[in-house]
Amino acid sequence: MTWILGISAYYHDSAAALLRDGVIVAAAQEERFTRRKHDPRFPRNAIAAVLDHAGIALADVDHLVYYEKPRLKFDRLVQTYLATAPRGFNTFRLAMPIWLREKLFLNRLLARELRTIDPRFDADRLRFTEHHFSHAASAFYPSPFDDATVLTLDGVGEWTTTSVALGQGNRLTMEKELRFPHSLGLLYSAVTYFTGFKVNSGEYKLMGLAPYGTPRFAERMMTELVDIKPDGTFRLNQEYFNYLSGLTMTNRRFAELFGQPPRDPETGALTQFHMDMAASVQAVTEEIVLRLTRSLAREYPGRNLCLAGGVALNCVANGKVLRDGAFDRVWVQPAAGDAGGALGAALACWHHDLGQPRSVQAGDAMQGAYLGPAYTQDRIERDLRAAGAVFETLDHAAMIDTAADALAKGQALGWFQGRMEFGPRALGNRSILGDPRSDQTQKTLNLKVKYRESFRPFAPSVLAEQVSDWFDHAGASPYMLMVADVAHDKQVPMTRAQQQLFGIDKLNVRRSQVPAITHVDYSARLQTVHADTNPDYHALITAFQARTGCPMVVNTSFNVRGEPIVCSPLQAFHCFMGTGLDMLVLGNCVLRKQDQPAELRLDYKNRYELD
Amino acid sequence: MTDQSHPLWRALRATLDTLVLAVMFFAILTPIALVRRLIRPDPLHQEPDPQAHSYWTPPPS
Repeated sequence: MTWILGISAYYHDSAAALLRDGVIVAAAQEERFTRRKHDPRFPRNAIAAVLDHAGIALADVDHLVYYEKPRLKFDRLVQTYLATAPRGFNTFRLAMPIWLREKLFLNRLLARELRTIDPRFDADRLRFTEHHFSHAASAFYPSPFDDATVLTLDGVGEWTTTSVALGQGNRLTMEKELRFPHSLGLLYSAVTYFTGFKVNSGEYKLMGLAPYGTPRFAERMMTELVDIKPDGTFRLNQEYFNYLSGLTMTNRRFAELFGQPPRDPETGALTQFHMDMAASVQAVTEEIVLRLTRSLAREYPGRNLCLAGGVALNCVANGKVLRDGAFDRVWVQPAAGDAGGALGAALACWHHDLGQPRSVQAGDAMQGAYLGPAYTQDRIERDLRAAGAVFETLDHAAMIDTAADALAKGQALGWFQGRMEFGPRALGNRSILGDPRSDQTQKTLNLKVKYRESFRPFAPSVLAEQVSDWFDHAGASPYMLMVADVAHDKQVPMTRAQQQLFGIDKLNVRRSQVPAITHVDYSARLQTVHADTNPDYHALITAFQARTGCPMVVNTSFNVRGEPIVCSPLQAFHCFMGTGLDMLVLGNCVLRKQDQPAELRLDYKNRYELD
Repeated sequence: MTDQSHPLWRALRATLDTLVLAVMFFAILTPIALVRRLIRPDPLHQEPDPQAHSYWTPPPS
């Protein structure tokens, strides 16, 4: 038996992933344990969790793989200073001490940390793989394809920002790449920064904002900011950016080009200008991604496409690639960001370095991305009792019925089952659920439960068998990484006056039979739910459909704004007690808000800093 | 003044650190950078290339 542990750490989204003879046994992100969003520290807790799930010790691990090569990254840093000096001292002053003290000798740092977990750990078992090779491996090896063209797009790894690889059986070969400073991820992050959102997490908001705007700056971006060749390859005009030598993403010339300074995240009002900027960078992103995928489809014989890297979390662009039809089939790694690099690094070790064969799984090898810790019914009851919670334990069928009844009555339901999801999305094991037919759901969930005023609607979890009845989509989309339109016969057209509405007001117009999940452009971020990967969730939605005729529920992650998704039963209970959730179901335990002792209520609203 | 956590001591260390880093950056790295850029003007390929059909580069071997 061969155990391989993959690790990503020290940038953002630290994670660990464990393989047994090439099979994914467990994977988890450190933030879920430390309760610090995007925690970049050594993933001590995530490692402990995946080892615990397998019942092994760290010394039993045969190969430990780190997801990138620090020396190459350091080389990029030095080369960048050589290209920009005397500019760049501000970043040099901050980065260099950390690099010289720790990151340059990462093998020693890792070995030291690992020996604090298990003193018997042998540092010779430590290996390194390249950042984009990790992404490519995470996209290809778990995919349902025997052969595929693999495209990775992100901010930057060591040098690479965009890569193309070919996968065939257990072989994965890098074909070509684009290098720093030319990066689609950094372009998107630059506009994220410019519109006043947080880089590395606000990109998702920018994508949600885009349908409110018109892409009136797209032409200007494509003539001034980015030079795009017909095959989709590009260079960013560094005269407008500041990330090479400064501490911000964009500079004064960038602001002059668009006629406004960057929005202040705290005090700056979000206006039509920012929505138009969002729509424009989204349009440019889609243009680049579509040109790339079309030219790759012409150049290589394969009909299958795999995607990973942070840009592959842009589900709007992914949906366009799928419908464009240049490739027949598209598969996106659900942990497309750096957390997934841990998994990719481990898979690259097994198949690529050790040359082990690969057997393609129907669906895929991600097991629905339900790869995190699970808690037994006993453990759930013990934790709830210790916390003073008032609950009843039902049999499985009664639990499903009770939860479906609550949803059909419009209640906000906390839903905690089985293994925690790996990757940024909650997929029905650590989720807050609601009724998608109600006009109130969007408002209630946002203001009473999530404590945010969101301009993006929630995502639907729809029974896989019925996705085509409700959406302009066929096939599986189990990871919420594809956007598709609500089916035409389920849409409600907007009046001219409603078309003119702005922001949240427009979102509140009843635009379809399922308004809570319908964006202003009639799109929805789809999650198809499959009985084989998540039977409990499938049964719940089936029971909801039996009551309402609607084969889907609203699914949002089980957390408040700025909080990592809950991991343990106790965290779920605390989030329940600190928010306006009406009911909480954990395993077969059912908790109603009105039954809980008043002294256990928590003030949760201001617990986490803004994301 | 042997207590290393004293605020004055920490401020002195921070100043010294910055000074050492400034010497590294401006007295060593910058002259090398300037000379290198005389020989090879655009090391990061920042400039767009109107003649090129594509910007793909082969992966490093």
